[in-house]
Amino acid sequence: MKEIAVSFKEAFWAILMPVIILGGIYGGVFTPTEAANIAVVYGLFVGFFIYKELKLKDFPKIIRSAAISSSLVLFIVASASAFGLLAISLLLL
Amino acid sequence: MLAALLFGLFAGLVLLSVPIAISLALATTLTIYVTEVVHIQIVAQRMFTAIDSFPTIVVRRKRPL
Repeated sequence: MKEIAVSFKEAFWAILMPVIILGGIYGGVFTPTEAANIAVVYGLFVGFFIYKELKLKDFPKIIRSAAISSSLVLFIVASASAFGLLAISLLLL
Repeated sequence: MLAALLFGLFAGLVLLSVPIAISLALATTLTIYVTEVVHIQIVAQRMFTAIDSFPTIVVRRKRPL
């Protein structure tokens, strides 16, 4: 029981993040797009200043990883869009 | 008939274990190049317009650092 309390106290700032995001979206404070921005800033703040797990030299690695994983998905979206346009225009011919 | 070419090309590329995104783009480009139903620069325009919206940037796949 004491262990649960201790680890809950340690994880409190991380647990607060979904509360902020979902509470903000469903409570009408901000839109999902703004929620993403706020989540990024909150995550950076907690990682740098509260948990102190992130170092400043990790920052380029983080940005790089985010860019790579976004571009993987976005490339699929882009080519699926072109494919869909051509499929529609061929089926209408 | 031409749609069969498009979908057949896509299925063939996927069966050759080409990545999905590349096989979609390649099937589209090759079909337009062969049949010339629409202008080929439509592909580039359409691909750019698809990702040129802010909400699609939010999409994120979980990935180790």
